[in-house]
Amino acid sequence: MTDQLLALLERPRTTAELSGELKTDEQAVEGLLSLLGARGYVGKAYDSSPTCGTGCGSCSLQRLCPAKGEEAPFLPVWRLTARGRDALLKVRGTSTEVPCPKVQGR
Amino acid sequence: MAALATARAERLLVTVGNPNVGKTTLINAVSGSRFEVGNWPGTTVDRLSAHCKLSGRSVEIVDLPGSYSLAATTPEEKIARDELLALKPDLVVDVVDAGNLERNLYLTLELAEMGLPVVVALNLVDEARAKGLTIDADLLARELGLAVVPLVASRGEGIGELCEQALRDNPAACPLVAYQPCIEAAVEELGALLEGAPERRWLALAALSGETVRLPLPVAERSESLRQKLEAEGVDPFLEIAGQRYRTAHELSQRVLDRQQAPPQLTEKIDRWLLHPWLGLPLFLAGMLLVFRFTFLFSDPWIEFVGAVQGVLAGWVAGSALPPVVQSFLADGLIGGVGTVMAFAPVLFFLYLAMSFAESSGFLSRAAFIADRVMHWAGLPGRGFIPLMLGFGCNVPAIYATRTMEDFNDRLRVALAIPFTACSARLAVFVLFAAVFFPAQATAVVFGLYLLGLAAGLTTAAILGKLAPTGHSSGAMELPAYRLPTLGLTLRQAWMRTFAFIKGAGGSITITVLVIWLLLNVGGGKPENSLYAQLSQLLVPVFTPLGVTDWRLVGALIPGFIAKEVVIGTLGVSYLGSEPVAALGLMDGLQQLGQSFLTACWAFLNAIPAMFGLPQLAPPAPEAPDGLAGALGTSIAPAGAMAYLVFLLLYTPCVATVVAIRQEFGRRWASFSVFYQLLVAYVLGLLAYLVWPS
Ligand SMILES: Nc1nc2c(ncn2[C@@H]2O[C@H](COP(=O)(O)OP(=O)(O)O)[C@@H](O)[C@H]2O)c(=O)[nH]1
Ligand SMILES: [Mg+2]
Repeated sequence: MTDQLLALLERPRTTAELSGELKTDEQAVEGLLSLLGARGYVGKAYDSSPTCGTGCGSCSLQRLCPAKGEEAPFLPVWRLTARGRDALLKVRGTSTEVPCPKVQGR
Repeated sequence: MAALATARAERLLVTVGNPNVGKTTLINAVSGSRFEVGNWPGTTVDRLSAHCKLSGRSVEIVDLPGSYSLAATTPEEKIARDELLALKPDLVVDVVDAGNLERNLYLTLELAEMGLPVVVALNLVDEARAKGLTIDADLLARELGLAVVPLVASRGEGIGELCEQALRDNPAACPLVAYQPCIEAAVEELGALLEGAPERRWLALAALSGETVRLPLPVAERSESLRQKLEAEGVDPFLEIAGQRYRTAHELSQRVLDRQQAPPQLTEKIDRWLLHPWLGLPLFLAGMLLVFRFTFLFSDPWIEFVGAVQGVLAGWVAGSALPPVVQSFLADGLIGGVGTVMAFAPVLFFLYLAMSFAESSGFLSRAAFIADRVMHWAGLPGRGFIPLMLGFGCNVPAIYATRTMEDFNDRLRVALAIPFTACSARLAVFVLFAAVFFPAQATAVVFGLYLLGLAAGLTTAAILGKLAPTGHSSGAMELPAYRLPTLGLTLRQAWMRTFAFIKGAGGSITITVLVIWLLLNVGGGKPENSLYAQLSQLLVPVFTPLGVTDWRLVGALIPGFIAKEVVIGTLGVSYLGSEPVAALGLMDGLQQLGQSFLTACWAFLNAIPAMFGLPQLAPPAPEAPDGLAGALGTSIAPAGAMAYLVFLLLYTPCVATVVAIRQEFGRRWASFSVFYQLLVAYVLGLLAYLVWPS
């Protein structure tokens, strides 16, 4: 499920789009995304820049900025982070069905 | 601490579950609200527990903080996880939202891996039924191998059966998720090292996922090396484990859920109109028009009230025995500048109220869909709508969001278009200005400016697209269903946002306003002869073709580069300082305040029928405008005011946006965008002056 999700996120998508593609519940997709987000595999559309939020000193509305975490954007669009992209490449390199070798059994 | 409490009760129960699934309600129903409330040690997270007797046996129930998983991604989840491991409860009551089974089951599956005795409290069955969802509780119990008790905790339904279950000696739950063989092998190896710990499977999985769990050193080292080995073989254990749990939860919920095809969905019916190829855009714009009308009608009385408060405060200062410089500083600098900015509070509150409603009802998401189509017309890639839509909130994250597009030319086109969209700060500025300059047509003026900004942005993108065309595609979008948001939640959100603005505005606006006051007043001469005035005078010839001839209006555009809300504060300082203020006694002032408050309340009530186009209860009193409104009204003709507003809308939005463009596209493009915006602003401002009837 995670590999499918990562593959879909090669293009940024909304939660609603993802749940449509994966044919699962939107809330469940949100849960998976926040779990992946907490581990740095996916992110919101705007926070892909490390400099985002650094030049807002003069803005009176900066506390409302979704980039600063106090507000959720009304349109949550998710994308892959560099880490997510790496993970996707790795997943593509292996097949999940084949049992992997070399780890000791019982 | 918790351990002491356990020693007293015969049985220790804990409730676990996602936030808002009714854990507290359930404890309430079971214990008859004999709560003890406190905090979890060393945190500010509420700790709730209850002691009670069930069939003569003493029971303690501890409410663990709401958690979506045991991965400890939030402080609440960390507490829940640590306490589950530390407390070793006799029974875990896993409270599950029946209307949101798939997401909730993820936690259930994790609990089963902890090797604790678990009973599933399937709550909110009533709401699930209302959504057309029925769950086969017996089948779910068989699939999970756990007792499942359907509940409506808020009405006490099913609580009796849950209490019976609570006293039974339930066996430990069995793990339900089967992972890939390589993961299973690693889990087994680690589990063998943790022999005797009932939660060993969960611990092993957590360690392999890379979570921080407390393990004996040799086990931790072994798990780390196993994890690295798996990664070297191209298996990301975290992704595998999380993915497999989600897949299992999905399959389980598919098996036990019966989804009644709900009668023709309201959402579909509404969308047939709102997303109609031809009617969609006009209907959406009509919706935005309503938003602005609402904002204007309801905030206008309070803008005037803020003006009246300012007048009274200035009058009191004038009547005080303070030295003249201090008087001027208080009356013109502080009250004039900062006070004028306070006029934003009502505007923002009602704007955010309307926007919160549009947002949480699902209406605003449709905007994205329509924008997608409009983007297509403008020759932009479909994905360009994401940053552009974000731009209506704030331009800065919108600029960064252009990163979601791959092609540099596409990114640049959208980034150059974004600064023209009226962000929420500028929208509030326009509502204030429109109230001052065009009280009769304020809604139409604000709406027109909003559209003009959008049009300028899209035209920019379209023209640049002709110069450097790219291929584009547009994907189908899935949209959330419509909901009627609760009044309480909407009000709370609007209030929080307004408050955040007031806190944020405190810094930059106050400082700018005080600097302007200093520039105007230091040197001893009249403000007209100050350095700031002379600088502004230099620029006046540039703006004379636009019908803007007052140096104070022109001067305010300079600090406007910092942020647009500063313009209003600057005008407050510049204009209010020039008018002599009559001294006011305490009682007179209080009386004026009371009167203005009553007037504002009356006008506010009148806004309700006016919103629906009904005749107002009483005609608005023809009142000579006072304060800033009066001063501005006499210093510029309507055509000039229109040109001023157009210029204000379209020139450089704020420093932060310029910084963002520079960081993303480099200094050259940042300078280009500033010049381009100034040019467009000037040309369209001139046009507005020429066509607007005087
Ligand atoms: N309709 C309905 N509402 C419920 C039920 N159980 C709880 N609620 C409501 O759901 C909301 C959240 O409940 P709460 O106990 O605070 O959830 P917690 O965060 O899990 O502790 C409250 O407004 C409850 O009144 C139920 O079975 N049916
Ligand atoms: Mg609670």
